[in-house]
Amino acid sequence: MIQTMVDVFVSGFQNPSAWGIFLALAFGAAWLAPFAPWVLRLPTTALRATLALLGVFVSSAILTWAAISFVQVSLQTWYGQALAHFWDQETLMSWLLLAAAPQILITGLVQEAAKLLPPLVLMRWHRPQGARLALIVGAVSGAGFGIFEGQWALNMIFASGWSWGTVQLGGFQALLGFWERFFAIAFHIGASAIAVYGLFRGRWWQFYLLAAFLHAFVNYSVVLLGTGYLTTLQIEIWVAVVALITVGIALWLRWRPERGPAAETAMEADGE
Amino acid sequence: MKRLLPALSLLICLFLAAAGCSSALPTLTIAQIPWPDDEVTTYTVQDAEGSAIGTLELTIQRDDGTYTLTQVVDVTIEGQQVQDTVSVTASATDLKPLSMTETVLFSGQTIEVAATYGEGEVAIVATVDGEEQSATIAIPEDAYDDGEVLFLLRAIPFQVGYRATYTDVVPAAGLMPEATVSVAAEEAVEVPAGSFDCYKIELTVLGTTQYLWYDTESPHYLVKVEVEGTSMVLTETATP
Repeated sequence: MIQTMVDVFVSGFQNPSAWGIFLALAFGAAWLAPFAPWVLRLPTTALRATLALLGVFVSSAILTWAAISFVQVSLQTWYGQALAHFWDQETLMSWLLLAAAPQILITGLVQEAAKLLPPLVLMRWHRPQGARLALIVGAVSGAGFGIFEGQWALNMIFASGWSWGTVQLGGFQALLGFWERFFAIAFHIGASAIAVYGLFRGRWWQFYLLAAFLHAFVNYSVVLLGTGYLTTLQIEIWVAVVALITVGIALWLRWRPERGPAAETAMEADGE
Repeated sequence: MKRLLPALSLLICLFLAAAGCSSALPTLTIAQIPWPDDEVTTYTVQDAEGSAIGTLELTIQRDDGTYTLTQVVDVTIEGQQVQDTVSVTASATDLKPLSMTETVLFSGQTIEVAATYGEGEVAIVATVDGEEQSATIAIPEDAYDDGEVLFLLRAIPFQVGYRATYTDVVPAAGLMPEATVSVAAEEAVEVPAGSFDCYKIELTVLGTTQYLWYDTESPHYLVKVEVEGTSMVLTETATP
């Protein structure tokens, strides 16, 4: 299992392609821009604030990828082994919709926790003045991992020899990988923003669980595909709809007028 | 945002520098063509529990300067029968593909693919239930058709430690990932056709590794294949 974990981690850095990296960055920038991260002012110098955000961005990418490789993979393997110990393959297949649910939930719990850690460290160092700034920090953390995972997935597509000929032969289905990454990055940004918003509001575990369950809800589409309840196109629509709702909630929180004593300070910090 | 740009640019440059790195492995070479002019080998396809789920038949036919390399897979998965027939015409000297046809039958659906290899490109026509799509894709010099791989690996230099790469052209999908081949070990293998001392070959494509065992003795029969829980074991060889 250790070899599998190492292989998963290393795969994040394999098959690098300029197009894959460029598209992941472009998708991330497109979804991060509505959060207007450039307005973030920490009570420190501009350079330190920029470095702090970059630190969140990079550490979220590496930390979450490491969490997938070394925590998520092992938990899922043990869960799979436990299932196989108690039930035979035929029984498991007939109860797959239920049996796979905890395994999918693990993905949400692990990844959302890992994406939450860099903002947690930053907020202990300098607490953002206002929930909207916390949302920005969360969005940057989500973008860090979303873009890293995106470049991994897109690099795989390009490493497979994808070309315009692939689209000519396969039609729109050959473009679904790009569609999925576009919305997956949006989801990561939105979910992390919501989780960090909760952290700021002192309700971290409620919002963390919300983000984790939303994450699991997105990933559960894979089970529905595997069991034949949904087609590939339908699960891509599923991913897009959940991502749009998640990022929509985060953006609503980001731009709604803030109330309470912190509002004035936050507005000032926002530069508005 | 402007203040973020220098740092982001640095990150992008680092990523792009990494993108410039490529594998330093040599290109696959053909050491020998070990098979006779006509040959048929048959296999049983087994699932992860070792239950038979179908058959695989590999056929070699020589015509002047070419080989016609055909594989027919007939399996039943979860009650659905799938039949896939791939026939590749390849040069008899270097096994470079000249043309390929594939017919897949499943769930009452028929997919037909035809590929014609030219200088640095492959022209593909795919027909799915009467609807035709076509494309011409540029291919590198080290390209081989995916449908000839089981034969191709019989012709590589069988030395433990040998590693090489080639471009695996999959005309049905219009894809061509890089494949890495390595002769990993010598192992004894038991199959219905008997016991064989084999070279164990690792074939890695896009992070997925499949294992193939070829007889150490000429004509280096393919004895066993393992692909993600499914295995194919040699049951019979025939030279018509």
